[in-house]
Amino acid sequence: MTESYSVHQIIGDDKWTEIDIKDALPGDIVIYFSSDGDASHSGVITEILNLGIPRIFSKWGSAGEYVHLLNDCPSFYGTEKKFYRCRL
Amino acid sequence: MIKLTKSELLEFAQVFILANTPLSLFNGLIRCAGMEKLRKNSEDVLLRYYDHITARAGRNEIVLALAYAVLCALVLRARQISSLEVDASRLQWGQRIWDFMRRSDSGTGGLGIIARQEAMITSSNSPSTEMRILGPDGLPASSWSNL
Repeated sequence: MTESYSVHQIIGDDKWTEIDIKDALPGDIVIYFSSDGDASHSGVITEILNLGIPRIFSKWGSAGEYVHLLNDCPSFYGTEKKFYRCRL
Repeated sequence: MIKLTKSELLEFAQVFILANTPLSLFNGLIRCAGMEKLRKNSEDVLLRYYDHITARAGRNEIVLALAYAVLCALVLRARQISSLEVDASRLQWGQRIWDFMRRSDSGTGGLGIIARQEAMITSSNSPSTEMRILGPDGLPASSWSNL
């Protein structure tokens, strides 16, 4: 079972639905995908800044938890991001 | 003997610490500057080095990162030499990296790019109308010279 399969299964089971970045709000989540489509990182949106850029709270491996801007994280997490909201 | 600089080792360690998944660890390590140096070695040298590192007691982040980096170099080599076998289970994420990445062509950072070429040609002949070529604006090609 790959990471992506697990992640997609969790998202589906927990009724998370994909949303557009412009609709993202605090509490929504972002998942980072590598170039080969594997989910490599995830975080929770804590704030939407003036220009619509989300501020993210996420855990960087064993290095700890960080609050960072959407793109201010290690590049190998991937450049493709998808946003999800829980519809429960 | 494989010699890496301090900055190359630290870059491996940084990726090792920051990676959240086995595949992100692989993707991060193969982009490190030291990976190029590792990949220049033969599989025998890499295997000996892997055995040496993983047999060591007192593993720290740098040693573990280096072990994963050598494993990733072996994975890339194993795609060319199918008989190559490594005891990847010595590392917690080793077996998953080995099993998945060995049979996958993905995650090599776009080492090969295949351009997709498509030609879309549509034509229709109506017996009642004269055949003519239309431009993207829908106008007959003969009208282009008027532009």
